[in-house]
Amino acid sequence: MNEDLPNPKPDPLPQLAAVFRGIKSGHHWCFGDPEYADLSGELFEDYKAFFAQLELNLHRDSRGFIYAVSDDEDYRGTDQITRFVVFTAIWVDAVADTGADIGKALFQPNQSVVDLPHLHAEAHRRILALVGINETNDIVTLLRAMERLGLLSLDGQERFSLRAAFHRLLDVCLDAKMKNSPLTPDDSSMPDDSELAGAEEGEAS
Amino acid sequence: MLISIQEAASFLQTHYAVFDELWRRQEDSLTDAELLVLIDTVQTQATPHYLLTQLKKLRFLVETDSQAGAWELAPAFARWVEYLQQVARPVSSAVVRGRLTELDNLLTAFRAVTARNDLAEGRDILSDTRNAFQRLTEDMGQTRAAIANVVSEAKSEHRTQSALKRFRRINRLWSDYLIPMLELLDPAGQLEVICSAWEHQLALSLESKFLPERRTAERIEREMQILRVALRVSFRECRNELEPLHARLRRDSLWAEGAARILAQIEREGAVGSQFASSLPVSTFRYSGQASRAALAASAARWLDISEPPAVIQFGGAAVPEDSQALEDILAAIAAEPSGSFPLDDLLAWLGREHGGRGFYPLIQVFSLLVTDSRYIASFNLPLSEYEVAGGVVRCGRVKLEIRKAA
Repeated sequence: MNEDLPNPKPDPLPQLAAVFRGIKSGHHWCFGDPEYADLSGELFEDYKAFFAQLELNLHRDSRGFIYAVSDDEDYRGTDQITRFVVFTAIWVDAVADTGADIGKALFQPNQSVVDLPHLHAEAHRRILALVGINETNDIVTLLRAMERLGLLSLDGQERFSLRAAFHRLLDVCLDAKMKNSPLTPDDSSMPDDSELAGAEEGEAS
Repeated sequence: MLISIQEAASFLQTHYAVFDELWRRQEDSLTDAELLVLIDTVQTQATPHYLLTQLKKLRFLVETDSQAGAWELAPAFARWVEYLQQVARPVSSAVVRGRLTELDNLLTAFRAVTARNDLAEGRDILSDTRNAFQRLTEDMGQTRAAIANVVSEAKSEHRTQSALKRFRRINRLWSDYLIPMLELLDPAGQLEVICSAWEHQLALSLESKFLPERRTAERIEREMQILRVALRVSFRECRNELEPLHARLRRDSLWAEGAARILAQIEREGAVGSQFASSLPVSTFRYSGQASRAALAASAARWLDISEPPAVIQFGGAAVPEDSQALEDILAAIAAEPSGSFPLDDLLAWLGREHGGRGFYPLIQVFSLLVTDSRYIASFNLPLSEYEVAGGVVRCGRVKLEIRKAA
C-alpha cells in the first residue's frame, strides 16, 4: 500500500451527469432511485446551486421526491400536462364515488391498466375524449409519458405503480379546490400536540 | 298515573319485535300513521291500533317537544336500552356545563353550612359533590367510548358515505365534544377554578375543625385527581382516534372536490388552451432559448471545429403540434420492439429509416429522450456526420443505443 500517492479528488457532485440528463426531460427522482439518495442528502444545496446557474430550480419535496422547474416566466405548459391532470381528476372522481380511501386506492402497487375506472362512466369518457383519450391504448401511451417524467413506473404494457412524485398531480386537484374557495369552518384543522401539551403543562403546574 | 313494572315488562316481552323496530328507528320522529305502518310490518297478534295506544299509555312513546303529533321513544326508555346495549353517546358540552354549575352550587351550599356549622347537611353536600365529580369522570369515559365507536363506523361506512360527509361528521365530533374537553383541561378554565376552590374550602373546613375527619376531604380530593387524569387520558385517546381519520378524510374530500372542479371546467371550457396545461411546471428539453445565445453558439462552433456558428434553427414549442401524438407513438413503438432489435448501432439513422414519416421535430425530440432515458445506454462515437432524416439535416456523431440490463 503506497501512502505517498495522493488520493484522487472526490467528485463534488457524483450524480451530476445522470441528474442533468433527467432534468432535461423533466424527470422526478423518488426515494429508491439511484440518484435520489445523493440528491436529497447533504449535497442537495450544492446541486441546487449548480442548476440555479442554468436557470433551473431544484425542489426537494418532503413526500420523498425531487424535481426541477425551469425558471421561465413564459412557460405555458403543454396539452400533455392537461391530459395528465384530466387523467388524475377522473381517477380521483371515480374512486371518490366508490367511497374508498383515495390515497390508498391510487397508490396501490402493481395496478392493472384494464382495471382503471377511466373508461367506465359515460361522463368520464366524454371528458377524456376532449383530451384525445378514447381507448385503453391511449391510456397506456399516457402512462408511458408519465413514466418518462418519473411519476409512475410501468411494468410492461399492463401493470403500473404510482411513484411518490404523482403527488404533484394530486396537488393540482388540491389547488383547484383551494383556489377561490376559502376554508369553511368545517375544514378547520385540529389542534396539535403543543396545544394539549400546553394545557397539560399548565394543569400540572 | 303510576305504571306497574310488571305490566310494562310483560308488554315489552310480548311485543319485543315492535320494540326492535322502534329502536331501529330511534332517531326518527314518527306520526301516528307512520307508527301504524311500522307496527303493521311486524308480525304480531294484536292490532296496530291497540299496540299504539298501549305504547303511548305505558309511556314507551312520548310526543316530541319540537312537533305536535310526532312521537319518539321516551328518552328515559331509550337511555335504558342504550345501557342494555352498551351504546355510548358522547356527552355534550351543555351537559358538562351543567355538571360544573352543579359543582359550583354545591360549593356555595357547603360554604353556607360551614358558616352555620351544620355538619349533617355538610356531609350530604360532600356526598353529592363526590357523586358529581364521579359523573363527570364517567362522562369523559363515555365520550371516549362513543368517539371510538363513531370512528369505527366512519371507517366501515366508506361504501355508503362520501369522504366529505364522513369528514363533516368527524369534524363535528371534534368541535362539539373534544374542544369542550380541551377547555376543561385549561388550567385557567372553569373546572380548575372550581377544583381549586373546593380544595381551598376543604382545607379551611379541616382547619376550622368543621370536618372532624380528614378522610372525608381526601375522598373528594381523590375524585378530583381521578377526574383530571381521566380528562387527560380521554382527550389524548379521542384525539388519537380522530386525528388520523380526520386528516385522511379531509385530504380525500379536498382531492375529490378539486377533481370535480377540474372536470367541470374542462367540460365547460374545453381542453384547448386550458389553464391546467401549466399546472405542473417541469424542466424541459429546450431547443431554443439558451441554445440561441451567442456565447453558446460560439462555443458550439469551436467544439464542432467549424468557422462560423451554425444558423440557429428555430425549434420551439410550436414545432411539434401540441396535440400531436407522434412523439408518444414513436416511443411506444420503440418500447414494443423485441429485445433482439437492440442494440441499435446508429440510432438516428434507424429512427429516420423506421419513423421518418412522423416528421422531423418529433424524431429529434425522440432521439433526445432516448439518449437520456435511464432504461437505455447511449454511447457516442466520432466522427460527426450529416444525417438526412425526415426532410431535415442533422450534424451528429453516431449514437449506439442498447437496453440497460437490470441490476
